[in-house]
Amino acid sequence: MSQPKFVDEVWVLGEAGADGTLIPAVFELSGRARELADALASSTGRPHGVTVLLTLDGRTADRADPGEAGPYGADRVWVVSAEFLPFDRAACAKILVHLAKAGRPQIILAPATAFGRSVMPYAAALLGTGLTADCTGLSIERESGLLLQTRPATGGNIMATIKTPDHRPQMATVRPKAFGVPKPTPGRNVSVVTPDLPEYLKENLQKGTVRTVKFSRFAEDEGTLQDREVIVSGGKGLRRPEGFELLSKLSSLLGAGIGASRPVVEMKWIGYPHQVGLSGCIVSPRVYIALGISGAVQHLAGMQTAEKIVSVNRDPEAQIFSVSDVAICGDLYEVLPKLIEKIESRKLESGKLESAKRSRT
Amino acid sequence: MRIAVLMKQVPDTDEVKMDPERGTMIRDGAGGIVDPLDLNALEAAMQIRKDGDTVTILSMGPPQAEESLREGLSLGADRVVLATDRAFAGSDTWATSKVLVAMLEKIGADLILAGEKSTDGETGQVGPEVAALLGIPIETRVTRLERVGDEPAIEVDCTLEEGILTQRVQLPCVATVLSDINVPPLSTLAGKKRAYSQEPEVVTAESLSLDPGEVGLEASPTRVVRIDRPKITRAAEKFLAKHDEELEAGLNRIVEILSDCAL
Repeated sequence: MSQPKFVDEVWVLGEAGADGTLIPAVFELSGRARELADALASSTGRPHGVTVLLTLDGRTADRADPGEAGPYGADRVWVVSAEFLPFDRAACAKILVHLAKAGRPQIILAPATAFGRSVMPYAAALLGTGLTADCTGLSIERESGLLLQTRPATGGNIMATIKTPDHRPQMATVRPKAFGVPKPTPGRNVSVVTPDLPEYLKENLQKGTVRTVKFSRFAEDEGTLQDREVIVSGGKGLRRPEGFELLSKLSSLLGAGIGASRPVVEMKWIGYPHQVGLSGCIVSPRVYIALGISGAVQHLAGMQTAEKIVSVNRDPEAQIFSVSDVAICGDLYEVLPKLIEKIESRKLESGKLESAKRSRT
Repeated sequence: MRIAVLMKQVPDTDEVKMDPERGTMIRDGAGGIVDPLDLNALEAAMQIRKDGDTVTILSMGPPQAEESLREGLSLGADRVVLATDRAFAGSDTWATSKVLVAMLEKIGADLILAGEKSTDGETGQVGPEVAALLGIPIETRVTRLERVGDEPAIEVDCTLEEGILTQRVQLPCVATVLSDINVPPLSTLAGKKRAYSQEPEVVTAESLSLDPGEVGLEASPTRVVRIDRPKITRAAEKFLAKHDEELEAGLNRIVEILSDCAL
């Protein structure tokens, strides 16, 4: 396949998950990059290409299918792999910088993951350009052709739109799931290539100053909170660490993730990966159930974009109620068992329904 | 080992209330505090320091930041250096990093620690940008940090999305920490006395030999061009649990909402 040639490009720095396959955010951003490239093409009259750069871990690189980004909008995928490469953030940034200096893309996007949030600022500083963190909106300004980067700021209560007027590339990390994965267009042409890297970079990959000792994956149920459709979250209102046992009864009924407010994480009632809020993770599930969480600004900023918010709190003045769709004012130890009971009986019912359907067919 | 801890003064968000109509923080009356994760970074430094090591706090901010930075002295840091200058106003993360790097080059550091992100800007970019400008490795989301014997190296655990990454890094390097790494102590009376027996050192663009054109808003590649205040208040249906029928209705509403996706 011939390599597409574009003078102007939008790039995506992609990544694979621990299982080696590309994370959904790569497809999401390939689609978004495609839209931005098309918008730039219509405003400048020049076609813009989309290139995805993957710096993969050599141990699992064969499980990734780089061409998979094609149907979502990528014209070209660059693949570099070496053992533990993605964990050497500086090395990945240097590869990106080397390629960007030669390729001169207009825009570089990356998911706002641990990887993207480390590699992108490193690369932006080396390129001497601006970077906007954690964007939830991206568009092209018609008259200038500049990238408008919108992100929640000051606790998530303000949306700030940011431009990089005079520096190139314009760089942004994007909160996963901000746009959703677009419908793929099967059969789009995409070339998968290994870029030429200079010797010094290759050497750097082999004997860097960073050495990975090990990577211990979390158990399934500890998986990433951001990917959950439903999150059941507990706060100080649980009053004791054992409260999380009751909470996890509800979460397992719902197949939900478990979240927590900062104070209970600080009291070590539950581990940090569960912390929702500015200093923890920012989530946007379909349903967020806040139990005994008062709603400090720093927590609200981490969950207020959920589709539906349900809260239970004893304090009728609790701030959490102001961002809730359904608010129950009462003791969660009275409310929760009843909710669990209701859901169990509902499940039993629909289970009977299901098996009745099955026995009929 | 020379350890530098990057610190930022932020508004005390625990005191901040939200304006439900405008969806903005009501900052009046909320004081400035040291960004909580930066205190974790300082505590990480105190835990690995040995005799002969130095722990220096570096910050960029307004002159008032001096007061909150004293907390660092009371918790055992040897020095506090604050870069403050009108020329620094409006700095984005890149321009901020340049100032911090100028300070680091002046004082010298083997290990540079900071909070993973601040509670106000929450970009998490300054740590990696400082590392890039110094050309040294970066570790982010660190939840364990230890020295590797007498080698000029550290071993860290980083809590990532799917697991814990353990790495050994040669010094010099930058590491940004999460709150899981430790529990910062409260300052003692003796510590507070020490904090007031010593003045934070102040540096300016001039004393750092930075040209005013290379710092502040002018040198920042990014520009905020618009601020929107989306109304976040939702019209909650409220149910009082002490009334049985209200509780029943409330629970039914929850089950209804859940039946769309989880039931």
